[in-house]
Amino acid sequence: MSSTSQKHKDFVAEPMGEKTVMALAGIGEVLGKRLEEKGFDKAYVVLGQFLVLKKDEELFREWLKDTCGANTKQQGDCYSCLREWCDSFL
Amino acid sequence: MSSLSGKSDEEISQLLDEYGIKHGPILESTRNLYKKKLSEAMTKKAKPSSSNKTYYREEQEEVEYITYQPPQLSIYDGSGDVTRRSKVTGADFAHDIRRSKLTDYRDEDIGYNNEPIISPARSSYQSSSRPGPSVSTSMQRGQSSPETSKSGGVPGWLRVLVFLIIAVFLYYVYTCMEPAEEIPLKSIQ
Repeated sequence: MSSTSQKHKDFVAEPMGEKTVMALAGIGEVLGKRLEEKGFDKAYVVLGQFLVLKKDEELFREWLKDTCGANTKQQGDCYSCLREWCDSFL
Repeated sequence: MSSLSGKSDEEISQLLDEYGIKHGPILESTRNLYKKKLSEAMTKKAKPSSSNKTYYREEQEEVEYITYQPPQLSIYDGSGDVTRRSKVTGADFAHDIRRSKLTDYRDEDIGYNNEPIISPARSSYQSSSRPGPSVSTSMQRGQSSPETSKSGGVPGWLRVLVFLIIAVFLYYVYTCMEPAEEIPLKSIQ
C-alpha cells in the first residue's frame, strides 16, 4: 500500500474547478508543460480524457505515457488521484 | 497488413473488439492510442480468430477410460457375500473398478437383488445345505464355471431357478432367526 502525497490529498479534498493540470498528483512542471502543449491545459480536460477512456487504468496510463512521457510512478499517482476524485465527486 | 490510418472510427472500434481490447469512444484524443494498441495486438497475434481454434483442438483430446468387462466374469466376481469380501483380492478389485456402475454389489450383505441373474447361479451349484462354508469354495469353482457356461445370454429357465433358490434360502435364514428375535422381547418384559 503506497501512501498518498500531500498533493494527492489536496486535490481529492475538493472539486477541481479551474485548477491547472499541474495540480494533479504525479504531474510536475515538465509534464504539465507537455500536456498544455497538447491542449490539456486544465485539470478538468485531463479528467475528460480519463472519463473517455472509461476510467480504465491501463488505457489511461498508456495514454499519459504517450502524451507527456510520464514514468510508471507518475502514471500511477495521476491515475489514483483522478480515480479517487471521481469516487468522491463524480 | 492494411494501414490503420486509413480506417474509420467504426473500423477501428470493430478491430479493437476483435482483439478483445477494452476501449472507449474513438475520438481525436484517443485515436492514436487505439491505433497503437491495435498495431501491438496485430504483431502479437496473426489473426484473432485463429487462437480460438487451438482451444477447440484441445477439447477434442478427451480420452475415455471406461472399459466394459464381459458380463460373466465381472458379475460373478461381484456377487454380494460377507465372507467373500475378505477374499476379494486385487484381481477381483480390478474387475470391480471397471464396472463402476454396479458398485452397489460390494456393499450388500444379504440382498442378492442386484445381480441375481448369473452370480448366485454359480454359487448355488455348490451351496446345497449351508450357504456359509460353501461360499468360499464356490468362488474358486465359480471362476472356472463361467468358462464352461454359455457364451451368449442367460437362459430364462436358469433365471427362474436362481430366483427360486434365493427365495428358499432367504426363507431358511428367516426361520433360523426367529427364535433369536424372541429373546430380546422377553428380556424387556
